[in-house]
Amino acid sequence: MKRALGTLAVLAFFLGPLAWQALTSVWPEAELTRPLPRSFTLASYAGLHGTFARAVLNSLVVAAGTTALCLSVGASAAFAIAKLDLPGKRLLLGGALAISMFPPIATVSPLYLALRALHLRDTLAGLVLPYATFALPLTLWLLTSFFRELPDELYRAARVDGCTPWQAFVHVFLPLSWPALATSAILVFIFSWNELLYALTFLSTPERRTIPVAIALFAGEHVEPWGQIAAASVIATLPLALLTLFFQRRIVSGLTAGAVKE
Amino acid sequence: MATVSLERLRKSHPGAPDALREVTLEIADGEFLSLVGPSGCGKSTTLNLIAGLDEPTSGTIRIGGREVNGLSPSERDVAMVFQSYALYPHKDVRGNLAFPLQMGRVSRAEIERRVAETAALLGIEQLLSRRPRELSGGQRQRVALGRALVRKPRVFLFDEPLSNLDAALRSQLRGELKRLHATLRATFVYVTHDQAEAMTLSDRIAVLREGSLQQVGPPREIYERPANRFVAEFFGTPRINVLPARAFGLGDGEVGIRPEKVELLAGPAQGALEGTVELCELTGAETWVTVRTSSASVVARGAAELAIAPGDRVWVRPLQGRILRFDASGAAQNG
Repeated sequence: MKRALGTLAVLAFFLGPLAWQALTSVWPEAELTRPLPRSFTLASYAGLHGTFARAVLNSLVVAAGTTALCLSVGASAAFAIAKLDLPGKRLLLGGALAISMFPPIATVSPLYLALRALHLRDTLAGLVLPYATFALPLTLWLLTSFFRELPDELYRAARVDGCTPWQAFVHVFLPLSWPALATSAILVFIFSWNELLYALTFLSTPERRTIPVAIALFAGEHVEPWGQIAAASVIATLPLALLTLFFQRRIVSGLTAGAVKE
Repeated sequence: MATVSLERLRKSHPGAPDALREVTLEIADGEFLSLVGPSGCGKSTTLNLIAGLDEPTSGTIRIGGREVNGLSPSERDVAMVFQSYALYPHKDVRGNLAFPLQMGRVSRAEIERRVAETAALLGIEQLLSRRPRELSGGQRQRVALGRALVRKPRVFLFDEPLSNLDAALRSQLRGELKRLHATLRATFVYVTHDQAEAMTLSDRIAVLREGSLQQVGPPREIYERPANRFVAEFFGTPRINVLPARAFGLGDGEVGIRPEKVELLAGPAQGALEGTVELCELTGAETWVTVRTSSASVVARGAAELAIAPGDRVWVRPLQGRILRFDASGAAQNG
């Protein structure tokens, strides 16, 4: 009984806000001031414009692009750090960690200038690049610890069997690392999917907005369309929730990779 | 098939004693040579240098007369079997066997033929579609062996391939290895810390200690005429008895006598040392008797049915001409 109460409390704490949001999204606009709605409506969903669909697409492109960039760079770098005789590998790992310690707000102005110089301001590619630099340290650490777990003899065997280091990576280590890759992919995807600060600063064209920016700008001068904001949030959260549910075992085993000996 | 020659091979790591100090060694074509020594003696380093997994600090490696320094492992045409098997977990047995051939750009039909041939040679045909994790230790090591064989390399390198197996399986695979060597007549370089394994398998044994070669020779020579006290103590169980030479009136230095070359006597005799029995260990075929003499403990071999107990007074005497003499530095003295 006590345990059930505790479980309920925890569930309420984590799921309560989500449930409330889902409820708000089907709450008729006219009844918002009541403690509970008397009827449900999908009007808020219907009220979302094509611009929001565009934002979902933009977010998908940015998040997928960031994930792809992070994984391809992160996996090969992590492999080199974990298995090859690389001078300065500790420095590299430490540096990556140090970079991830910077508060994003501190980097906004220099990044803005850099992106403008590269003519990437107000483009989706201009978001992928800074996102990747922020997500890369996590990917690098996660994958490095995973590759370290795989026995060195496997690498030596691949080399003797005729692989170059790159071939050993592609033919032997990549096929073995998909649990860790899936974990990193999801974490990076969630990070880029949710990011607001850079997206708000670097994008100005409405057609290029990502979901968080689009939702933040729903509010007009005189109206706060709570129903629509809630509906948009539900739509934005759903794919993440499904993705995570689907991969949850993988995520956990990926996160603890290297923590204990098997 | 090919010879392997190591010339003044040195490997040093910054901030550590040299892993290998000027090792020079000629391995004949078709020879089974074991590199033996305690852990950290440089035997695995030597193997990695031959394989091309590591580059020497100085010195030359030749395979089949051709210098291979700086060549990648695949260009050296060597194959290696590892202690942990190092099978590719995501490939089935067939995939594991085929992998080195695929990397070597062998045609598909040829790969199929060679995989089948190798599997038949090792008796693993029925395992071809299994994954490594579904195999027992012995089966895994057979597959690892197959992966080395399938390429028909000029030199086979073994890095403690039997250490992870239990005793019964180890002796079975030991026999298979020996037969395999007889069939293939290829050059085998075999690293082990197990002196008994080296003794039973090898044509010649190279003993390493702290990166230096101590002695190279056939097992019998290593056992009967060790170059120094270290080699004498490393080979043979129970360990060789080492006593001060004075105990036998032989001057300075030390003497070594193998336990099976020590006679147990019930009464005093010429050249025998008096002592008290400390310990009797019956192994089934014989009894190892530890005798406490005035200068040191001596282990002697007795018959299994020997009626003797701790506390008994006995005499021990080395067999004629079976005393090894070492000078103060531990080096064996001739004569």
